[in-house]
Parts: sequence; C-alpha cells; structure tokens
Amino acid sequence: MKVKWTVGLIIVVGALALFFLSSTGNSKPVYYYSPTEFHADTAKQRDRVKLKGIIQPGSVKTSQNHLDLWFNVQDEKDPSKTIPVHYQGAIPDAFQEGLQIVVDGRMDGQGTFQGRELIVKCPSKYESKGKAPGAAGDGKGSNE
Amino acid sequence: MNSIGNYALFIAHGLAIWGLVASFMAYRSRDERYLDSVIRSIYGICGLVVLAVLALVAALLRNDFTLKYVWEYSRRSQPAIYKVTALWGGMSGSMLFWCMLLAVFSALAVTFNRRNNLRLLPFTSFLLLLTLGFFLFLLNFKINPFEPLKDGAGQLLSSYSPQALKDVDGNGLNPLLQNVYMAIHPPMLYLGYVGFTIPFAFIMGALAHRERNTFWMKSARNWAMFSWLTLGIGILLGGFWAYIELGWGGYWAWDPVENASFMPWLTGTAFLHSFLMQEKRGIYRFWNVAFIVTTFLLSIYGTFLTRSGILQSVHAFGQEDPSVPVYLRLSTIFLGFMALMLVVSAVFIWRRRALLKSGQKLESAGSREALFFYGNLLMAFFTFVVVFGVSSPIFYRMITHKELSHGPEFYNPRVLPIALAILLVMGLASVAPWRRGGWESYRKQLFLPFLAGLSALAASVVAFFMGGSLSTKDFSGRPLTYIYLFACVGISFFVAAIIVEEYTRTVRHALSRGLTVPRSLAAPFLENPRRYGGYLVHIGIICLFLGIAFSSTFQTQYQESMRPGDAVRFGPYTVRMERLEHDNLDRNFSSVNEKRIWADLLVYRGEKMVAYLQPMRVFYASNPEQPTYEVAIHSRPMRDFYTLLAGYDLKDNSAIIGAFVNPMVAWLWLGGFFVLVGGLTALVPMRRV
Repeated sequence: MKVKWTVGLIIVVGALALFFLSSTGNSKPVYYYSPTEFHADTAKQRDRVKLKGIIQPGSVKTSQNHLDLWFNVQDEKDPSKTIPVHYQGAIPDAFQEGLQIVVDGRMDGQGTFQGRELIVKCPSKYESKGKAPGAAGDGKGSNE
Repeated sequence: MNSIGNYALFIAHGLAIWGLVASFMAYRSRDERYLDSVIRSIYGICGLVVLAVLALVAALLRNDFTLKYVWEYSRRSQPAIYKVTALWGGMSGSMLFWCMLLAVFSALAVTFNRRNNLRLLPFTSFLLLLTLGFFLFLLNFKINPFEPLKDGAGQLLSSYSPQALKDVDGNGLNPLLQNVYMAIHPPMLYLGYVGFTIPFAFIMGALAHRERNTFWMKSARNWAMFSWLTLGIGILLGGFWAYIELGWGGYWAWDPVENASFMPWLTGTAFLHSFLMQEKRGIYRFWNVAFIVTTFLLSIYGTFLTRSGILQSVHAFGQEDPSVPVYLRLSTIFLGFMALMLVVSAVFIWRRRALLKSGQKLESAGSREALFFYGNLLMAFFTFVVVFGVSSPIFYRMITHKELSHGPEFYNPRVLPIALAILLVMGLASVAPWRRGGWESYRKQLFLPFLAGLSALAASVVAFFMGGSLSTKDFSGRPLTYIYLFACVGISFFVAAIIVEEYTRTVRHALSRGLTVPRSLAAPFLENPRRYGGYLVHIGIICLFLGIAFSSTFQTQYQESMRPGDAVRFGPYTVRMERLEHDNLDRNFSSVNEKRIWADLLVYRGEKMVAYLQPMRVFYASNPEQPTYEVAIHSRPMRDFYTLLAGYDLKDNSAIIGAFVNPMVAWLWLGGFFVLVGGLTALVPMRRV
C-alpha cells in the first residue's frame, strides 16, 4: 500500500513543480494599463500589456480596404489622455465608439500601440448605454 | 401582471424562510408533520417562481416597457424567440431563471425520493431551501427583475398614458446573442450549474442523517450525471458559437467566463468517477463529499462570475453603486453565501468524520481503486490551476488595485501534462482489476493496446517528418508542443484500443451464448449500459483530445488581397474569387434589419472544386458603423477551411480574404456527440431485451 501513496506523492509533487516552474518565460501575466498609467510607467512601455479605456468617439478610422483599423484609447477618468492604436484582424462584432475596450499588444517605436487582440466589453452584460425614454436624462432609472 | 410576479417572489421568499425553520425542526424532532410542511413549502415555492417567470416572459412578449428589465433587453422589433430568450439575457432575469430551475429540480427530487429516502429529506431540504432562499432574497431585494423603469425626470413609466407608452422602445438584446446557439447555450449551462445542487444536498443529507442505506445513491448519481452532461454540452456549444460567430478561427481562449463553467465540470467529472467507487466498494467517501461540495460552490461561483461581470468588466466592483456599503454589494453577498455553505458543509464533514472513513483498505497500488485515486488527484490539480488562474487576478486587484490576466500562456504549460496523464489513467483504469494489481493481468490485456499506441506514435512521428509537414527546425522551435502532440496520439490510440478490446470481448462472449450478430453487437450497451455508456463518453473524450491537439498545433492563417477572377493558394486549397457583391449600403435601415457585403469564392483542391463559400460582412441596424463577420467554413473530418472577408474596397472592387486551415476541428463536435450519446446511454435505464 505504500506504493499507492508513493505514486500519489509523485503526482502531487510533479503537478506542483509544473505549476511553479512554468511561471517563467512566456507565461508571465499580462498587466492592464489605462492610458494615464501607461504613460507614467516607462519601464513597461516595451512589454506586452493590456491597454484599457474607452474607444474615443470620432477617432475610429479604417483603411480604404477596411482591413486596417485605427482608433484612440481614451482614459476613462481623464479624457485628455489617449493612446493611438493600430490593429489588423477580426474586429469584435460589438466594437463601437464610446464603449469600453481592452487592447492586447505592445507599443511600437513610433508611438503607436500595435494591437494583436481586441476585447470589447459585451454590452448586454452591463448596464445599457442606451437612453431612457423621455429624453430628459440619461436613463439611470435606478441604481441596481 | 407585473405585481403578480413581484408578489409571487415575495411570498416564495416567505415560504423559503418557513421551510427552513420547518426543516430544522424536522431535523431535530424527527416529527413527520414538520417534514410534510417542508415538502409543501418546496412545492409552493416551485409554483410561485414558475408564476414569476411566466409573468416576466409575458411582460417581454407584450413589450411592457414599464419594467426596466424589459426595456433593457428587448425591443419591439425583436423576434419573439429572442424576446423569450431575453429572460436569461441579463443579470436579474437569469437569476430568476436559475431560481426557477432549482425550484423545479427540488420539487422533482423531493417527489421522487419521498418514498425511499424519506429519512434524509430534512437536511437535504434544508440545504435546497437555503440555496433557494438565497436566490429569492437577491431577487426580492437586490436584483429585482420586476423593477419599474423611471424616465430621466424620475417619473415612473407606469404612470405614462397608454399613448405615450406606445412611443417607447427598448434597448434590445445584444445582436451577438441573437443567435440560435446562444439561445440554447446559457440554459444548458444553467441546467448543469443548478443540477449539481441536488446531489450536493443529498450527499450532505445522507451524511447529516447518518444514512446507512444506499438507496439514495442512485438518485444522487443520476442527478449528477444529468448535470454533468448538460454542463458539458453547454460548454461545447459555447465553443461552437465562438468558432462560427467571432471570426478568430478558434473555439477556446481560456477566457475567465469559459473557465467559470469549466471548473465545476472538472470537479463534477471527478465526483462522478469517485462516486462510482463509493457505490461499488464503499470507499473514497471523503473525496466524494469534498468533490460535490467543491462542485456546488464552483457552480455558484461560476454563475456569479459570468453574470456579475466581475471579470469581464475592468471596473467590476466599481460597477456597483459606490454609495452602497461594501456589506450590501452583490459580490459580498455572493461570497458570503458561498462562505456560509462552505462552513455548513465543513461543520458536518467534521462532525461526521467517522462515517467518512473508507469501509475497506486498498490492497494494491495497481488496482482499479488506486487508479481512480490517481485520477482524482490529477483532476483536483487541473481544477486548482484553473481556479488559481481565474481567481488570482481578483485578489491581486483587491490588494494592489492593479489588474492582470492569465491567458493560454499561463494555462497550457500547466494543464497539458496533467490532461495527458488523466487520459492515460482513464485508459488504464478501465482494464485494471479490482483489488489486486499484478503484472500478469496487465500484461495480458495491455499488450495489444500498447502495441497500437506505440505504432500510432511511431507512425505519426514518421509521417510528420517524412511527409514534410514538420521539419526539424519547426520541432526545435517549440519541442514541447510536438512532444505533447505525439504523446497525445500515442495515448489516444492506446486508450481507444483498450476500449475496443473490452468491447470485442463482451461481444464475443455474447456470440458464444448463441445470440445473433446484431444482438451481440448491441449486447454490451443493453446489458451493461453504465459501463459501456461510460466507454462511449471516453471515446468522445479521445476525439476531443485529438481535435484540440491537432487544431491548436497546426492551425495556419492566411491573408490575401484579391480581385474578381484572381486565384490564390491557401495551403492545400486554391481559392478563386468570382465576385464581390453588396446590398444597397445607404444608411436607411427602416425596412431591413441587415445589409451585407460578400465575396463569392470557389474552393479547389487540385483540379477539383470542393466548395462554394460566401464569407460576409453584415451591417446591423443596431450598429451600422461596424459590420460584423459572417464566416464561411468548408468542414471536413480532417480539416476545416475557414474563410472570412477581412477587408473590402468597393471602389477598387477588391477584397482581402482571410483564411484559417484548422485541422480536425470537426473531431471536437464529433467528440461532443459521443459524450452526449454515451452519457444518455448510461443515464437512461434501458430494459433488458
């Protein structure tokens, strides 16, 4: 019966070793930055990060063939802080100006953030952005 | 109508409180009159919550925009089917739906077990009512789906004149969710999440009441099997939806919301297997209790993660009104409930620890019992990695107010070896003898499967290097990936051969009993449905492993600019673009819901035309700025050719065609099919013919 516990112990030790030894190299966690934080943290500017903010209204441009996408990520707290983003690839279906977005990517040498993945906050899971009827206000009917 | 829903929820909450008191009394006094009262209150809650759901569905169908929920998740032009599915489109509606499922399941479980398992009902009902009561509390006081809508001036819409109400239209359900798979996927997940509450309550009930009888086990196992199956199919449907809808060529991204449903499925899998050991041999009682408590808690956690937006939203806690004190916030209430259930479970596990000792000692490290134990350990670690990956960013944020996330780079190196080990144990355990290990029996039964696995491994290595699809340079670029791939092929064939060997043996035995050939082929499933249903599930799991291994290792991506008449090679395929067409693209959406741009593509392999594909971009009325992707897929067992209209220039009449060649993705859906059929075989009692 000792063998069973030995095998069990090997599994436990092996899995633990795997868990901790894998935390080098590529598997470093990716940090989120708002434009303000990103500007402030110069050490991180060459690393892969997740840039989060608002898709600045009016900043979205596409190339003539609609393949390349440019827009600015705007800080949610400080609208004056923005970072220009370039992205090529599938655009999430929910992509819309004014929505929250997370861009996974890194800064290039020219001051443009090259995105490799866009994550748009799925609007149905959040408080809706639509206007309440009556048009007298912004629809914050209550504070759920 | 709406007040009916409100009253129903309120009374149901009262009944839940009474039921809790009565079940406590029934537990203490063993007086059956209290128990009758408990059962009646469960029935009452069930009826009332169903009534509340009907009221909300009616409000959705009637476009009753005096309700905030209806206004947020529905609109007049929404097709009726998506008005109904809007029931689980938002937080409060989906919690109501959750609560209804639990109420119905509880009523069914109580009815079915009233005769045989009456003795463990008091505590079982207590736990069910506690969970019901928790959700009813939320629905009444925290996330009421019948909350009235106020306009910007603070005036209730219910005070509007009928004429004024006619001009109001709602926000509508997110168009991404207006898809038939998205309509089925959440209820499937919920059936699974909710279903695990029942075996949890039964096992804790049996423990609390010191039940020595084992009648209840069958019931608990069937509920767990049902929940496991619906949860698994729900997860796979979600992957299928992501694959055909999101346009990135993949089906799984270790996204926290995907993980939320995966965690209870993993522990549920472990539970089903070790519970089998308890049924057969009376062992692993502690493991079972631990696994079912974990599964239940992870189901609640998963519901909370998915619905609260805590993970997706970058300002999860901030989403809630900051003026609400911390102890009244939704996340605090959820965590509090989980902590309460954990404490209740832990107290009873401690007080009944003597009952959790295994009846028998394990005799050999190579026995079936021991292999199940190794499997349990591996499953537990797999779950631990996922739970850590999902939860550590939440704690990190609480402490540092910074955010991080874990992606495939975190999960893959940690879980792939564990997954392969599980696959191996899965095969070995089905031939391992009970009680005794011993090389003799292994050698006899494993010789052929071992040969099969080894030759498959050798053949795949040779085929890849000789066939030119893998160079030594590719290999040295990411050696681990390929080693795992080859290991996966070898182990898969090994395990599949074990199953085939077992099956043939049983069929031969049936033939020798003088049964006809078709009857003999069906004999294993008819005579031992649980075992052979299980094997079918295992075949499905092998398909999933192979599909995942090949599609993730060999996915290739292409992108080419094309004009009508151009022919371009995409890997093994040649694509000829015939036309680039579009609807009238003005901004007028008054008469249509969508406007499309599409490319007509002819796909050739060699000289032969194999498919006609139409990847599209579609502008919906709800988002006329950004067209969504409609991918076009040519799916064959060995590879999918996945195309999308990545870019288009209507003035220039040119298109940018993106494509993925995804090997063996179809094996995932095939695997899901086997899991479903196998699960149903094991679940549905078949009469012996």
